[in-house]
Amino acid sequence: MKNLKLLFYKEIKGSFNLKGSYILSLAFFSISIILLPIGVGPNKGFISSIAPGLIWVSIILTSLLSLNNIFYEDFNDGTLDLYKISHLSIVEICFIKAFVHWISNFLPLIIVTPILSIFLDFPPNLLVYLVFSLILGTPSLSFIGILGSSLTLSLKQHNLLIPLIIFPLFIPILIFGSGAISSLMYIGFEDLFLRQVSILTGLSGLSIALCPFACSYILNVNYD
Amino acid sequence: MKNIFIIPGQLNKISIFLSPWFAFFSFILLLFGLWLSFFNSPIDYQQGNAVRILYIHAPSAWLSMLIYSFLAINSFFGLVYGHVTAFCLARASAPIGLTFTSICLVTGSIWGKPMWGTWWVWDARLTSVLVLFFFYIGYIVFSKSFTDFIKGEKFSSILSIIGIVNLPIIKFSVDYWNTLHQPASISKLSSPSIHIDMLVPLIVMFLSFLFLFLYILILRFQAELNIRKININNMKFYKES
Repeated sequence: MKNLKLLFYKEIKGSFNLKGSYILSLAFFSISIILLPIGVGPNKGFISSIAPGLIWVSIILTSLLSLNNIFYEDFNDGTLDLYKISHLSIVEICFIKAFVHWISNFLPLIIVTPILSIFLDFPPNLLVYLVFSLILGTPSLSFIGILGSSLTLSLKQHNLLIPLIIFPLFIPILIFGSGAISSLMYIGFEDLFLRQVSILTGLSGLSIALCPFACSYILNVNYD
Repeated sequence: MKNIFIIPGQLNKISIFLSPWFAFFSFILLLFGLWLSFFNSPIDYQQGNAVRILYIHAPSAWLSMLIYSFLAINSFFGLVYGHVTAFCLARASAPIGLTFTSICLVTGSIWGKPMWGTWWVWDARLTSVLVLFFFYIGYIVFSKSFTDFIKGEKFSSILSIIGIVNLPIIKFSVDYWNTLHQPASISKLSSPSIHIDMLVPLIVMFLSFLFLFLYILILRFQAELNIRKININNMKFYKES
């Protein structure tokens, strides 16, 4: 447990330095949130009606961009080899990696979402629910994403391949995430919203429970 | 008997023996099925002659799912037991499945234009089949992008096993989200809610497409084996020089 804590602090420090990808994903997220309404046009009602979808699509695009950095550097400079011969199990390492990826890449996005939602004319009284659904839904993006990141480790063009092989798995999260907020906007706080949020939470829980094991298997195949 | 599917040479021999028969059956059944579906099946009282797209649309849709499960099962056996034939069959079946999925999507949208009024709807069944299409594309691109042959086989097998979560979603999408695509009418065990005059051409076309799949699979399987032989010969050449 103590080693896991140390690993966690080390990963957090490594990902929040200046060359970490959190600044890039923050910038990409802001740019896409600002660009999409400009492309759609300045019609206020229309933009606010598609705001949940825009926010979720931007989050998923951002996550696809940031996935290639999770294991790649550690694999190339040999840190992963050292993890493998240490007495930590690889499942725990995968869990810590995905969790740190969520903290460093999605938590900043969730923090700036209330500010950026001004551009989208999102109803301010629903902001709490939006942030709530983002916190419940985005962990599954990180935890499914480590599968793609570990599958493409030994490839040179990994940053182009990860989006192609991983985005079909993100589609259910996109559907239920944006569907929950849209139903909240149009129907109100009803059964439909709660049902979709609980499916979203279930997807997150399943991916948190299963993906570290699959990822550790894939990492072991890398060393065959 | 049990070694037939494991030893590449034996499977190759059997496939050389079987391939003309598969082509023959596929061709005969295709002619018979086309005759049945064009001239000997009733027109629908609502859809008119457009219902005849069914005889291409439904068999290719069934085959797209069947081939994906074939691919994933073969990948699983390849991963667990390390059989070369399983990997070969998995890699050989992927582009055929992609073709059948695109035939299903294209005929579906051609059918949807006169019946539903649009080429495309974001219905649960249509979306999940589109996701299956992207899984096929991802698998093919991913398995071709490795320089290390053995690693590529293993990783693409893992990818195809991950993608199998989509198959139950396709199957049950019409039952849970009852939007525009009609629910299953043939695979109900109790009594299929389709008339026997339409069921017979459907089954004949499905068998024809199945034999076509097996025929192309055999050709591609032989090609995969030859690629491996060339690789081994190259390795020997580099070793000697």
